[in-house]
Amino acid sequence: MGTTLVPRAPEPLASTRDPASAANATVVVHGTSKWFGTKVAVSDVSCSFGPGITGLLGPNGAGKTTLMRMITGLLKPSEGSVSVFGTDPRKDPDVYRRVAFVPEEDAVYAHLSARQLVRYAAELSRCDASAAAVDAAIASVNLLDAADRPIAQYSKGMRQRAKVAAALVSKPDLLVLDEPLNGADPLQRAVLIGIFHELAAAGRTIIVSSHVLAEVERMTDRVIAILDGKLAAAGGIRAIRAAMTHIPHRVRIDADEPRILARALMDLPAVVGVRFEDGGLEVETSNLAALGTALPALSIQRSVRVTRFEPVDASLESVFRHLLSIRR
Amino acid sequence: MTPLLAIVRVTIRQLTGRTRLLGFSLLNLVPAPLLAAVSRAANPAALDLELGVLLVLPFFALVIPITTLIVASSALGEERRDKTLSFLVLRPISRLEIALAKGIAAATVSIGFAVLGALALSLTWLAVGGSFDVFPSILLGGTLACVMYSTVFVLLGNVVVRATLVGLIYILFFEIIIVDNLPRLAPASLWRIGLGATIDTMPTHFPARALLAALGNWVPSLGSALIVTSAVAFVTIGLSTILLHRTDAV
Repeated sequence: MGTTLVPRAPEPLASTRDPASAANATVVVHGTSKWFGTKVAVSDVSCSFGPGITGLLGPNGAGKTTLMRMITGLLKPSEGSVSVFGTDPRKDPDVYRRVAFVPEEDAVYAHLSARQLVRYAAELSRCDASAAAVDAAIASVNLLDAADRPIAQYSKGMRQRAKVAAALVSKPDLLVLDEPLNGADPLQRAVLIGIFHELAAAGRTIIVSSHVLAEVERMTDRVIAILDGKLAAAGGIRAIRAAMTHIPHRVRIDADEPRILARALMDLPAVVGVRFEDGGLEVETSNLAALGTALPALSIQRSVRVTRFEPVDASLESVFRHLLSIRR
Repeated sequence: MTPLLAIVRVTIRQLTGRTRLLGFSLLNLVPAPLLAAVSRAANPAALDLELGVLLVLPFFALVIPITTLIVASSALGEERRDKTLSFLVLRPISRLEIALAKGIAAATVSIGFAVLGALALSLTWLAVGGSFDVFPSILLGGTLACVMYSTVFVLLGNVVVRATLVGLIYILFFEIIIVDNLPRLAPASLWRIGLGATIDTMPTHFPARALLAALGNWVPSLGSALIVTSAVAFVTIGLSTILLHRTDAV
């Protein structure tokens, strides 16, 4: 066990209460919960999505996929309601003329080729299943060269693109994509993100889930953050970034003279507390960037050699967990 | 192409992989060489009866049910297992169309194998008994059995993860052992209903009387078999539709 030195009150946090409702909402989630036996996957989430791209952000297991499945009508909410274009998708299958879903898992017919899969999707959606329409959808994801190979032979990234092509062929007004960039290489990611931007510019509603903040940031500024099945934050991605900077972080610092460094660190406004831990320091800071900037000067000033500077809890999950505690 | 036909087309392809085609073709051809072997070894006086029984019983009681079980339980079961069901249900098509298409596809594949088996048996009968006219009767009864088993096992595959095991218990334990000892339960045995239609339409020279013992208390006519088949298909496709609508599709 380490010893705690003079704890300091945390600095005020940036506002994280961004509105969860979108203008001109096409998808409205109201007081929605979903539980499987005793496990609560989504708990009382209310939010809405409108034209443009909205990122559904959260760590793995946060409840993003369950929420997306309820939005598409694959799962029936245990409580609350979901409305897509003003109707309950589970009661009115006609709404699926305007909706497409790209699941995260390898949910594809491996025995079909991409061309057969896209044609099948078009036929099921009662839209143009002509060779030209099918080829256009496949070409949009740069998969024409491999279009006649069985999907079983595709890489994960190619399978993702085949699924996106199958979703695009019906020209949906609402596109729901669960971790669509998983397995895609940087070039493929750029292609897919370009497609999502084009669709958003055309007034379509795009919901994209991801557990990687930087990935979502490339696609959109509007984010709905989920943690432990609850709405953790909603609104601009800058608020999330700000929260990442301003919430208390724990940083592991190793140095040849830890006691001298600890005393020096306590004078910094950004430092909330310092503990001695396994021969090093565990520093709680309200401003990670400020601490990172001040540390080199401090170590030179006090002649202390710093050998390690590593955030212990800088994951997105810790940020969301903090945001969630604020909402409660 | 309509969504219903598109689902039928893709499902048939899904259910007829190379291994399945080969395995089920062999299984459906097994009773024919059995018949040929017995025809050489049997006592000429009892030949007709033994041939009559051997010709159709293994085909109806084992080959058709087992083939259809494996084919039909995969029709929706594989979609659930491979998580491709979302590809079907998130479309502007009714759950009835999906259940119906799956039933049609499973029945089509099963009947395809049954045609092969019936053809092999009838050709053997041609060689042994001198006529091919048993083919329509065997095919008719086999077709009705395939339709009933297909719709029942499509439903089973949608509900139970271990549908093959549950189906085998029904076929081997209930239909063969229980019904054999409690003939009153014969109307709940699907192959016996198909066999009833076959016996009802067999040419008079065929020793069909040998098969009556296998049917138990109830010997359905062709008309009764058609009514029961329609009722079973209607109820099971209806239940599949309701389940697809009410349950989560993942």
